[in-house]
Amino acid sequence: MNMWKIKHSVDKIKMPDDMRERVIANCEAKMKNAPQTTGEFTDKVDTVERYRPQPWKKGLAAAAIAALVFSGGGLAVYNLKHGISAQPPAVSDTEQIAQNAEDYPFADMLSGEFLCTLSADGIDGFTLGGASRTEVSSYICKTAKLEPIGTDWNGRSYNVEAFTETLLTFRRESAVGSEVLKFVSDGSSDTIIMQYYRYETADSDKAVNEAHYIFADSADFTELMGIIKRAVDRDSLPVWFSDFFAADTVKFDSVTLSNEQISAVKEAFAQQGLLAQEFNYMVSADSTDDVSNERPHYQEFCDRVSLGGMCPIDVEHFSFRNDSQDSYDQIHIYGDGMLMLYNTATVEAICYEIRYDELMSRLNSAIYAPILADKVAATEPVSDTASVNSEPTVQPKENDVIKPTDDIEIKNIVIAGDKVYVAKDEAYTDYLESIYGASFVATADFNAAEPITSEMQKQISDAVKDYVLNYDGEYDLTKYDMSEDPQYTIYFGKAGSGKTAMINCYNNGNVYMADYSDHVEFHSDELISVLNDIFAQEIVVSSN
Amino acid sequence: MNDSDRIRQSVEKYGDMLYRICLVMLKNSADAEDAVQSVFMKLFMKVPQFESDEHEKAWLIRVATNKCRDMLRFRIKFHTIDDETLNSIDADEESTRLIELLTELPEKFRLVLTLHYIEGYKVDEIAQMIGRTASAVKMRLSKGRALLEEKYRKEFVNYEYVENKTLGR
Repeated sequence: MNMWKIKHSVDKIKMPDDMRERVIANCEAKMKNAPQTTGEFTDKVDTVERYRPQPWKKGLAAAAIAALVFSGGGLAVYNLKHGISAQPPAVSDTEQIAQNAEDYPFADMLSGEFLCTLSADGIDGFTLGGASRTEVSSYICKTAKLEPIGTDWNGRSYNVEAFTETLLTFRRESAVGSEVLKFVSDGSSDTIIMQYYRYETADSDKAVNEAHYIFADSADFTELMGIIKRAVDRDSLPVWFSDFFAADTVKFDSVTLSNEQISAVKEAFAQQGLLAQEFNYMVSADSTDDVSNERPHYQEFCDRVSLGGMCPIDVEHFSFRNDSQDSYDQIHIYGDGMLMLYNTATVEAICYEIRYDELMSRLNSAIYAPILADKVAATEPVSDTASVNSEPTVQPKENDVIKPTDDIEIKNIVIAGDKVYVAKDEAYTDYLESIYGASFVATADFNAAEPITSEMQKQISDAVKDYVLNYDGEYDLTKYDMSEDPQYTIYFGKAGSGKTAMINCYNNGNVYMADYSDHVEFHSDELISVLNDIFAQEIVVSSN
Repeated sequence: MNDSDRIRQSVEKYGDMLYRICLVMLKNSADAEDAVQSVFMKLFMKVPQFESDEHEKAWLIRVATNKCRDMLRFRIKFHTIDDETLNSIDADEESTRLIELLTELPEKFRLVLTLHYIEGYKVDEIAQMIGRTASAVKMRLSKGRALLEEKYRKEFVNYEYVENKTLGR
């Protein structure tokens, strides 16, 4: 079916003439009866049920005001004044700010740092940069109408209890309590209501102050959300990000990061403008509802979870891991531009969109190149022509080396494209085939068109297992270059154990071994040679 | 230009387009009329400043879709679903049925399909209008097309097949 048929049909829909005349007549009548305004919202400060500040609040407000005025951060509230208030020009800035702070209990809250929660997008607890906070607070204070709930507005009487859908939340914590500003809707009208609450720390269940205002309408709210989302793209790091990197130990693949390197990571994320938040899902075996993305890795990840944790790790993938037991402990970054925050314990994942190439470039220069350089410098002088990507012959630190264990059994093998998969059971084999559309036939990448026989499977399994478990050569973490594609990859694991492992074989003879959470790299012409014998073909090994 | 002229000009210019969108979204001509009227009232009362005609058109569509969503939420909440069969449309039977197939899709699909295929907006423009990411819009377009295709196949292809078979063709 061509969509033009639909277009052709829908294009036939015209507004009936009598309806058109009714709309015009009603609009004209509305215009005639409308009060004259300046195009902005009517200022109804005098009708507001004013907030009566508590003594501590006055102190806080005064301190905030002073800080705002003297730090230059008062722009937001200054804008607020211009947006909504008709103060006489003779009044000083400080007095006007104070006036607004009393008119709007949330005004000074918005001038400081607050946490945002975007309910519809499931994005929780991120902060906005200074300029963005100013923009957001200015827009709110300019747009908000000072009308209390309970009055009749535009023919509709609002009942606070009816506003049950929270769309957006701001929250600020301080030593004396918390302040919350919610934007809520009853779902049936196009009016957004602002609910402001303040809690004292001593009694967090009880709001000591509560106020409700109308926030224009849904079109304005959409604009506000647009501002916030632009700000998120521009300059904010979610709270989880700081928490993740505040852990005692953070690893970048196999390398434990120093504080300086963690700072470099944060900087790399911040510089790329970070995260256009896109997904937020509790991943489960039946997680199929509206996965609004087109990224193969995400679906692959869901499938992996449903299969008990087994899934090949794509070569365009790297990870950060921390030692947290009760929160997000892994960050996986994939070549298709997806960043996934993962909680191993609860199998929760939050996914974000990133600019992969840009981030990779920054991380390579900020983290990986210095690591290589340090190792090279520790062993031998670097020649003028040597680069950090050359092959240093160095001994890694002992604690960088983790030998694989023998609890991995190898059984089935799948060759798909340029990858060889080794798995324990048929279910996993079927799964791999369903993903990659592969059969048990070697592809042209291996220059072999004959089926992999069960005998070959056994030989490969035995060879890899024997080699890995008995390897006693030098381990050298410095030879793994994230930007290089391996010539082929062998995956293996235990179904249902949540454990996977892989071996990347590179053209230059390096072999990178990773098991589940720890990574080991070693140099092996021997293994390639063994595999070559099994495949009865030549795997080209470059001379460098 | 006085207010009356301005109102008439805008309704003449954008009325059909907004009515199409609202009717597809709401499946009810009376509700569509309410929605369109609400959009125009907002336009005339608020007097927003637009950079171009396209900007104005996009603003109107955004307000209209928000309004339709509000009305749909209200229907769901208060169980006041009141679809009509679109018999009032002045079109042939097949066209009417095609429109009905479109309106039978879930709201999120029929909105993006309408904006993309009927109104000709690009994916990123739609994303901006409805506050979703471009990839989400693409996904909705893809799924929406598939659903529509399926409905169309069931409605027309099978019918033709059965009809042809019955007639011995």
